[in-house]
Parts: sequence; C-alpha cells; structure tokens
Amino acid sequence: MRALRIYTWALIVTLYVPIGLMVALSFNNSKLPYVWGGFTLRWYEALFSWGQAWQAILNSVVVALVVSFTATLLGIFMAYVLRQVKYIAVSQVAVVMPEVSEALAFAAALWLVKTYTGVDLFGPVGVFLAHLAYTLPMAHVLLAPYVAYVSRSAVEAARILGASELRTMFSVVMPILAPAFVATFLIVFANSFDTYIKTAFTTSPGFVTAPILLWSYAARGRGDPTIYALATFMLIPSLVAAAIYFRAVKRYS
Amino acid sequence: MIGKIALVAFASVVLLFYVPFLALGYYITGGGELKIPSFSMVATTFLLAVLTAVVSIAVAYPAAYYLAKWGSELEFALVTAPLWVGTLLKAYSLLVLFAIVERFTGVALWGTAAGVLVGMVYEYLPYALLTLYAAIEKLSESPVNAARVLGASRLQAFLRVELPLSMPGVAAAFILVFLFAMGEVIMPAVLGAWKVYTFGSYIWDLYFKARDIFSGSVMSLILAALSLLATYVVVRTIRSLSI
Repeated sequence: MRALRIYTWALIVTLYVPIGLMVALSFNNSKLPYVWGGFTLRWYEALFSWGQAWQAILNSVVVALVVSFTATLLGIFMAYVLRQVKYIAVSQVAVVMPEVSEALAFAAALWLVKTYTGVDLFGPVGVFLAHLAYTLPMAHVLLAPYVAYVSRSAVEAARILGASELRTMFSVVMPILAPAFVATFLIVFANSFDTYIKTAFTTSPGFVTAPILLWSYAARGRGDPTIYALATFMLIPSLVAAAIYFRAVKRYS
Repeated sequence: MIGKIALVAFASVVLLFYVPFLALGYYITGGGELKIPSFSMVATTFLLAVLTAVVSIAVAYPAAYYLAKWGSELEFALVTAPLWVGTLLKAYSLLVLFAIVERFTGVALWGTAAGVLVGMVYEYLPYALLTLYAAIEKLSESPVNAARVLGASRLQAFLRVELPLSMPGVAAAFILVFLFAMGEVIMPAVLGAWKVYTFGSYIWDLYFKARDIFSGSVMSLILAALSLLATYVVVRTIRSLSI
C-alpha cells in the first residue's frame, strides 16, 4: 500500500509539473525557458498593455458566462423533468462525440443557414450556439445524479400548500440543487472558456477569444513569455472551478 | 410548465447538437471528389490512439487501485482537477516543458510522434483513471477475501481475482480514451508541429485549408459513427459490470 501511495503522489505531482512550470516561467526575467533570470512582472505588464489580449479574454469571459448560465439553468429543468434513461442517453452520446465531427457539423449547418437565408451567424452568435450545443447535454448529464436528493415529500408539501409548479421549482427544488448548480456552472464555465476547436469552426476573424489567440502562437512554437502570462491568466477559471467544485459537491454526501 | 421548459431545452439539444449532422448529409448528397486519407495517416492515428489508451491505462491503474481502496478526498480532488484545464493550455505548457527537456537532455520531443503521445497521455490520464476508479470501487471484497483465506498471497489474489474482475472497467477506459484520441486535433497540431498528421488534423485541414466540406463531412460522419458504436459498447460493458 505504501508503494502505491508513493506512486499515486508521484503521478499527481507529474500531472501538475507542466502547468506549474509554465506559471513559474511567466514570472521569469528571461526569454529562454531554461534560463532563470530572476523574478519579474514585466510579462504581465506587457500582457496588460496588449489590447488584443484584453479583448480576447473579455470575449471569452462574456461567452462563457452567458453559455454557462443558460446551459446550467436549462440543464436543471432537464435533469429534474427528464429523468428516464433514454433522455440521459441522448445527452451522454452528445458528451462523448468527437469534437471535430461535432464542430464541422455545426459549421456546415451555419454555412447552410448563410446560403439559404443570408443570415451570417459566424462570430459571437455562432460561438454562443456552438458552445450551448455541447454544454447543455453536459449540464444535463452532470446534474442528473443530484436530482435524487430532491425528496418527493418536500415537493408534494409545497404543491399541497398551494405553490405553483414553477414556484415549487424556484423555491424548493432549486435551493436543494444549489450546490450542484454552482458546481455545474463552474465546470461549464471553465470548459467553455477553454474550448478551442468549436470556437475556431464557428467564429469570424473579427471575434477572437482567448484560446484562439493562444492557438495562433502555440501552433507556431513557444513564442514570447507574454504568452506564458496569457496562458497563466487563462488557468484562473479552471483553478477556481476546481477549488469550489469539491466543496459544493461535498454537501450531498 | 416546468415540463414545457424541459422539453424546449431538450428540443434545443436535438436542434443544436444532432440536427447539424444533417447538414453534413446535405453536403455529402451534394457530391464532390472524395479525398481519401492516406493509409499511413490512418495507421498513425490508429497506432497513436491505441498506444495512448494502453499507456494511460497502464499508468493510471495502480493509482486508481490505490484511490479506490485507500484514497482520501484530497487525493481524489487532485487527480480530477486537471480535467478542467483546457487541452490547448495543457498542450502549450508541454511545449514549454519540451523545450527545457531538449535543452538539458538532448531529447527532442517537439514535432515527434513520441511528443504527441506524451501530450495525449497527459490529457487523457484523468479520464482513464476515473473510469478505472469507478470500476475498481464497485468490486466486492468477498472474492478477494475468499482467495486469501484459501491461501493465495496478496499478489496472487490481485492477479487471479481482482484484475480479471476489473477487466470490464479496463475495457471501458480503453474504448473511451481510444475514442477521444482518434478525433484529437490539438495535441498533434501543437506538439507534433503538423508533422505528425492524424485523422483529426485531416478533417481540420479539409475544412480550413482545402475548404472541402464534402470530404470533411464524410470523414466526420465516419468518426461520429465510430464514436456511437464505441459508446454503445462502453455502456454495455459498464452495465454488465454492475450486475
């Protein structure tokens, strides 16, 4: 057992080495990743004065906020009402579908809309819809197990005391599901914020998100440490999500 | 009322997620010249995906076993958290790590299949680990205890009893990781520097470089069909696991 514990911890450390290293190097006062030139904040200063990066981060945050709010809210209704296996299976299939196929299908659909109706949805709207398309089933799948914690008697009591269906949903069901709502919201937010492939297929050149900007450097090599600073910045949603998630979910056990 | 909202939400999943696949059908019926991917590219993708799955499972199994038997909440959280870091960020951080590794050991990983493999294992390890964890955690203690009482050593009990019992979980993890790896785009592009060419990169290029939606649609549908089949198999194995 001790050997296994050491192995597991070694694995955990390994999982964090690349990311940790990148974060550390964003404070490195040298352009070369293998030379430590002392602590500096100059890459962050460069990042903050880089208008395009700000715009890209802002775009990502706005899209991710709207997407995660819509997906989680609708996801709660889906998880609460559509509990049968067949509905969940439809969402599960969507979750494991390869990203490229899905993204290409969505782009093809947007092209058809453009050809036949003349409405060009590529850009913010396309990105929003493409993100919603995969986060909605994701929220459904993630929330489904927690619906069991909403007891029938609480719902029936509320209904007998005269609350409407919608009122029961907002005053009884939602508060019980609040921690799961927060957890799912965070996962969806982090996911939408980081997604590159679906965004690339559905955006227009004028709408740049943080992953698109990062890709334009990453696909050509390492680039300048300012990019490390950008990447470190992009880690924040994932870290916050991870930190809060476990606390939120723990309330159910 | 809430039933209607749920149905509208469900309808939008179908409309936004499944209906676009019909658009692929539209472009396919439109016809065109099918650009068949080269054999070596399909072979590379397949080999990379198999290797990724095998290596991820081999590396993850002992840790999953430990977590399922004695793991603490913190350890579980630390293993799960990397799932939420985007693929692109992981790929980029590995790119930086590779530069350092190359400098100090002389081993060049950037632009090689080995580098892409490292990246994909790094990305899919948590998936393999969680799937294995779920399978091992469900195993009952009694068969192992029986084997121990009957005189098997700890190792024998593991090899002859627990390992075979956890095989459905291993199969599920294999299919899951294999499937994700087959459609991978980011790792081969960033870490393979477009030199390691895979099926995912091919679909990518068909759309972005060749602007050939027809061939892209055919390839996407093949990938999607493969995924449906694999999911069906996974669901079947997991179901048989719980019985």
